[in-house]
Amino acid sequence: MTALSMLLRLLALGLMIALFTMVRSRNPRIRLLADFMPASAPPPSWTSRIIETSALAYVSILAFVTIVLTRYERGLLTEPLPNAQSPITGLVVTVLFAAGILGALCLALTWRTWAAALLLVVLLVAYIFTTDPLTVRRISLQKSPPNRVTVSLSHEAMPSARVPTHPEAP
Amino acid sequence: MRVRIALLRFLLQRSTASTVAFFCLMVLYMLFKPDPLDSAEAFPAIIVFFHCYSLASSLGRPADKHFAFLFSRGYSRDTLWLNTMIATAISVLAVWLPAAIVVWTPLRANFLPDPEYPIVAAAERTVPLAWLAWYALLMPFLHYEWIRWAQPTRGAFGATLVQAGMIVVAYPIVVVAPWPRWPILWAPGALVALGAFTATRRLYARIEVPA
Repeated sequence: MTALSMLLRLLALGLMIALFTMVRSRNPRIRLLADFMPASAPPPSWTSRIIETSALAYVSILAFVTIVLTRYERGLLTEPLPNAQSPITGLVVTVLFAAGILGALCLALTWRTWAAALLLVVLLVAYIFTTDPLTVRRISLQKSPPNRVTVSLSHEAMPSARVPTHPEAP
Repeated sequence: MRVRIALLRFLLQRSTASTVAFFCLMVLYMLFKPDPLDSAEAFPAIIVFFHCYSLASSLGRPADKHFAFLFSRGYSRDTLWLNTMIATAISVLAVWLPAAIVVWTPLRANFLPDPEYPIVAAAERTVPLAWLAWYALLMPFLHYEWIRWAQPTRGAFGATLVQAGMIVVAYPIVVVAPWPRWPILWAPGALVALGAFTATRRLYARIEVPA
């Protein structure tokens, strides 16, 4: 793991902890997603509920499709996790992502938007941890060790690649 | 609900600076980008997002003082909504249309010395439609958020969450599923955006006007 990768992961973790603290804090100065309307204010209209819920559902489905497509393109859908001796495969991780997104969607549908947001942030950090290019590079290095190189050259196919022989050679 | 020229002019004046700035950025990028354009490109997507954001915050923020001023001039909420949407559409077209014209006409070919450009130009023709699709997807949600915050009801952070979600999703939808190759992903988005647009009209009638 390079220093940059480590730094990025630490930053992602720090962001997650900071967000969690700010969302759940009782201090109104640092509390995020605070509702400025008093508790006696009327609940949101049905128009708002329908629009926000359907938009969140769309976002969740799109996030899942993106995760599956990215993992498929990087060859991580069925491969085991790098450096892992456990039977957890990429498919299990993808299924876990699906469950997480479904959970976020359910939370959003039941109007627990802050919990849905937190779960989506956790999923985003998990996505960075399990699908980043450095992980992919490690897997590809494990699959093809550098000392096994096969070179096939054909003189007929590549006339310009012929090695000129020395006139005094036997 | 009528189009009022004086009101439209007032609203367009508020968005002129950002529109001119994004117009210059977009057209210059189209003229001087040496590689072929692709609908999965990040830079135009970023321009579209920031332009949408600046339009929504300059035109569609009912908590702003300009809304109270307009309300005191006697305009009905329906008229205010209609003219805000028309001003938004004009500002979007002022950035998108010149950039699309640069791509669709030989202007870009004349600026680029690449002899293979005429072949590439044919593939670039659908790219401006992708930018228009991003505008159509993002703009209703950005307007919706401000209008939702001006409602006298609880839970306005739901709109902020939706907006943040759309921004997070805008990147993968551009890169992983570029328009129009994945209509199955874009079609529900278009429906939801249409719903958000209709909701702005309904919610505008219940906006709380600032004192």
